[in-house]
Amino acid sequence: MAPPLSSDATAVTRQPGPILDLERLTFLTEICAAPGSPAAIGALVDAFVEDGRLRVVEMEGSLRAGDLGTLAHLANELKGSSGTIGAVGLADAATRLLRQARVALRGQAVEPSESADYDVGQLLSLVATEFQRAETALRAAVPGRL
Amino acid sequence: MRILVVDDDRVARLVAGATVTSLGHEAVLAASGEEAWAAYGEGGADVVLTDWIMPGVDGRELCRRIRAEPDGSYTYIAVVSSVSDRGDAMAAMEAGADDYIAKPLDPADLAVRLVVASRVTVLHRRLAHHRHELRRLHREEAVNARTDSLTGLGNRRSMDEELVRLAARDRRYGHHYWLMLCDLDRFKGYNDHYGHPAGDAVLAAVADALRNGLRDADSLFRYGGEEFLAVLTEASLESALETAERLRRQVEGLQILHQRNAPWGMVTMSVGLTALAGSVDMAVERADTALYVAKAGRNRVAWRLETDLVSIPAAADPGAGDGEDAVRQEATG
Repeated sequence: MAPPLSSDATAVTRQPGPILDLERLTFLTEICAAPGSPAAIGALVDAFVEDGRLRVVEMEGSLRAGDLGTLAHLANELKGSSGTIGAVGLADAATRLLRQARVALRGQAVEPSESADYDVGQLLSLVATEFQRAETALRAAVPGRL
Repeated sequence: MRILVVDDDRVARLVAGATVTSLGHEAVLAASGEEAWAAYGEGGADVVLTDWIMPGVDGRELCRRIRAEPDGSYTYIAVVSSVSDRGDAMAAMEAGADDYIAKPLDPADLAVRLVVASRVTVLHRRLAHHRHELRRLHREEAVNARTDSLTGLGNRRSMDEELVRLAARDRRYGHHYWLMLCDLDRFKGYNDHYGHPAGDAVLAAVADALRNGLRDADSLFRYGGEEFLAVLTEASLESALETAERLRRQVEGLQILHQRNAPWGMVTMSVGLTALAGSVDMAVERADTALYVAKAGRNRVAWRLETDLVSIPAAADPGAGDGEDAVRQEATG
């Protein structure tokens, strides 16, 4: 029997750890300032926020439609882009969501090692929260943008 | 290097592009496999840094298309993916990728891999250049091995190959060819009197005259020494004889002084004509026999079919006679 797709989101807790990898953000700021760079750091953050927000909305729609395949795909994309920009808290949440969505896709029960994890709905709520935190932190770290 | 960065994720694409640019390379960004393929077609790339999983043309298909390009240049392909599945890495390699890089990109790691990419690309280009040069030399050598260096005509080897080919066409499709064996009269005397360099110049001039006197469909070879063999295509006996006679007159018309070729006092040519029928050896032998007859009177055309042997003396030929006379005359070279 497949695990539940949604449950009480208030039960979600984020794992302890930083929101941003500041070292990576500094590095990104430097390379984006290099001559010929396709984007300034502000534009990069804009792109991340725009695309990420859309992905979260689409994931919520996928969950409502019971389309776990699309949800897993979007979670994988968000995991990649948040890891790329250094939003490590969000990347971690997206990774947990991706893993759980795949488990749910296979129709398997949560494995014992993952028993402390939450269901897909809870983890999606966690992702949405982490996204907000990442956006706020990025805006604070890259002043003058957004 | 010109590096094509392909990723449907905007952030990943921009970061990869910025990383590549910061390392001193030119970055061309593409948001899909289709866009990448179009950009590749327009300007090519030294390196393609591509996402593996994309809608439409994905990393695998892009690898396949690039590797299927026949232009001989080599593009280094590095697949970049967040999927940490070793199976995907192997699939990327099998699709033609050279490297597999995990996301997010580590710039120091990418810098090292691009050094490798640069070396591999340079090596492949050198290899492609050498391969191209080798093919060119091989083609050139093949042509040289079949060309007479003095006259630029096909040599004996080329002639043998062509005759075998034409004889087969004659047997299979009923095409008709004529062999025209031409020999400069008393040419040894020319060389003895005027020297070999002058003799070589005569051979080259005669070759030009013969070549200009033939149709494009006909072919001409240097048979050896002062002998040439022309192959006339799809001609009747009458028109073959006309051609032979015209060429004989053309050589005579060059008016190259030849004091030891009395009574003409200039370079002349004898011609033996026969049909390319039966075996090549037999046909050449018949042409040779006809030439032998022509040489008996010199500066004339003789032809021979399976049994017939006819000698046609040149107009105003002081030594002219009929075919039987020609046969009886002694051929003296």
